Amino acid sequence: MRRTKVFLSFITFLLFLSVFFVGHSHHEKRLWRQRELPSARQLIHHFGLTDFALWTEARYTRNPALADFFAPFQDFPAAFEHFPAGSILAPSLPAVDTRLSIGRTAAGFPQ
Amino acid sequence: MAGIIQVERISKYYNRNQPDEVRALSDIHLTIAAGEALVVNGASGCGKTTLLGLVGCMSRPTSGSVLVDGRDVSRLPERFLGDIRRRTFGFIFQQLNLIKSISVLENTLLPLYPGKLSMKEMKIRAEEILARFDLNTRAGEKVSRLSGGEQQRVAIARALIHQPQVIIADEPTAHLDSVLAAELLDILSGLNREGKTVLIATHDPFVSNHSLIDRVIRMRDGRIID
Amino acid sequence: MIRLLKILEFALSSLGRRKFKNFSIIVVYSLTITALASVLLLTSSLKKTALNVLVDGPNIVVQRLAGGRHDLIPTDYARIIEKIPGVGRVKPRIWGYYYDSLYHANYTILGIDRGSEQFAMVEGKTPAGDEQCMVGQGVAEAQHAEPGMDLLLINSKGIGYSCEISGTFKAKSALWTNDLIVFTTGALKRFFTMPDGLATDITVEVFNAGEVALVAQKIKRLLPDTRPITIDEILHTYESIFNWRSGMMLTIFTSSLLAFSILAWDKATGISREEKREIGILKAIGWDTGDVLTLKLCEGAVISVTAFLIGISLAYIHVFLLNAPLLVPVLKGWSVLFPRFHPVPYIDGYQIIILGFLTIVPYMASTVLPSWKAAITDPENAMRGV
Repeated sequence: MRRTKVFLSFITFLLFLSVFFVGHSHHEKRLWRQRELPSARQLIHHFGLTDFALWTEARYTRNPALADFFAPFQDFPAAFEHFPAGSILAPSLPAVDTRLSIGRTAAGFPQ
Repeated sequence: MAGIIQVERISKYYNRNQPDEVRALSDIHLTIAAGEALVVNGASGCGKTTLLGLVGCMSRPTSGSVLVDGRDVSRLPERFLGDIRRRTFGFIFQQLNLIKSISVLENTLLPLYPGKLSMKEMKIRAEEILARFDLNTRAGEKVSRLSGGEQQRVAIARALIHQPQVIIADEPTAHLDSVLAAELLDILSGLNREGKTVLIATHDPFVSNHSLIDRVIRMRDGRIID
Repeated sequence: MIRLLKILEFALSSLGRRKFKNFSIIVVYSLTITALASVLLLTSSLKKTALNVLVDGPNIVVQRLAGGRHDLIPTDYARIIEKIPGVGRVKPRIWGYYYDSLYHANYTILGIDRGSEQFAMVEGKTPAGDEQCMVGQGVAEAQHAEPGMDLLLINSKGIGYSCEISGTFKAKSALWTNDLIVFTTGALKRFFTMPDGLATDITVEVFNAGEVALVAQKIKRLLPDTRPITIDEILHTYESIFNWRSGMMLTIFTSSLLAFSILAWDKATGISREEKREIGILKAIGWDTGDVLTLKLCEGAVISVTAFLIGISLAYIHVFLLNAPLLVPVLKGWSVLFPRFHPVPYIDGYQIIILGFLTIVPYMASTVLPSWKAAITDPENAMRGV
């Protein structure tokens, strides 16, 4: 059963490695929450930041959380593709409650 | 008289109802008693291998029944037949059907994997049987490196390792010279004296005329003629 | 159990007979899992980081729309918003973008109240006056600037503004601040030549977190030309950017799964004559259908489980120990300023399990199913290859 023993030992090693990584993950998360998260949140709060500074090519890639729905379509016709942000970021849709709804008055004018 | 194996009115057709339909066996009746040594004799293509295959549960008859210890095995689902093959039959194939890319020891062990023995017990049994056939020094070698006669002995060892009641051998002397053929028949005689039933298909008169053999039946064109 | 271990032993022997082929399959399979899992782990990490950090951002950001476009917002709107019950501090903000033609980089310029404050993630201080500014790590590197040096920016009217760098954001905050330049509000207003009474947007503090949506609705009713963006929407944006069902994940996931399907399909389209013969021999010498299928299941499981565990481990090492050197260029793309960051090791167990299910099960099925027919066939037919 030599082959079985070698194989099962290898799989056990990989499983232990996975468990080690889970433990490592918990440890690192805990350290991050203790050491860096408070100061990161302080920055976010003081400077009013709303987005990652990942893709700085256009305003709707730099601030996707704040970009309006039409922003990606306002670049001029020969605008370059922003890669990979252009493929990854879908235009953000406003929440239902903050969309403008139009009603009509008796006279037929929109309210 | 009740026998260990009963073959009742079996017929076997290949490619049934096709333009190339072949009738391999027709209306065969045969009773094989426990401990009997039987030869099935006939020219190539007479249906010997087909008959042995049906008796050994390798395939099913088109019609008729095969009874093993009183139990009709010809209509059993395939999933039950493996156990019957393993407990009852040791088959030595004409083409040997060894797995050439694995070792002598591994080929010999193959029938025991699904059973209850531990790996250690399996190896002990394999080493004993390989020693009996003078193969213990070649145990680690790939079968492809062995001579025809040595491969034949591996096939026999594999057929016997699980201590079957019935040994079925299809043209066992085909790859052997006269010395080795005589050795093989001595081994089969010894097994027969231990009470094992031996069924051999051959057209070799050396086998048919051997003292081991209790009965010879002759076949032609898928029928028993004698 | 003993029977299973014995059949596993034979399965390993069987796989070892085709060493090169099976080793290649494990390598390709592992690399596919590594690619998929790396994307899963990185996006999961970014998502969780965003959700944990951004939660302290502004409760509501109010923009103004004109003709469907983002427009400057009158600061008077802040007075109207302040009167809504439950609203705390309301602050008009001035911020925008700046294109540095020398370095072909876009910066984000932000205005804050003058303060000369210190923060853990800032080396130096915030601007004490209009002649000072703070820069992010990416800006500092692009400009080769340090605290104490001068930064020169040219506005849209061609007027140059020079300011002393009072502080830089530390590298640890690069994910948020890499492209930032921070001025005082007054200095930035002059730089942008923004008219009085206008701002870029307005931030709103809401005392009760549960009332944010309600306050946003009220703002929308009172000021129909505005677009209030709540903190939940901001967080939702990041949830969906790094969601496995959209964008980057879908692209890479789909192509990797397709590659994997080709591998599985190749196996599933049939077994060789030699394999059929081998199954026939096993059946002839006493293996039943269940034993043969167990053998094939073991063969499939050995390859797929090994490759999956190797792939997952490599993905973890790649993303969290080596900072994803193969993925970051994909994320970076054509960006000029891209932050260096160390992903926080958030693992979404659910996604890993789904990944395992989507890869291990099909591979095992593709190993077992082609052998099914031979396994249920009479040994004589199987050995003949029928």
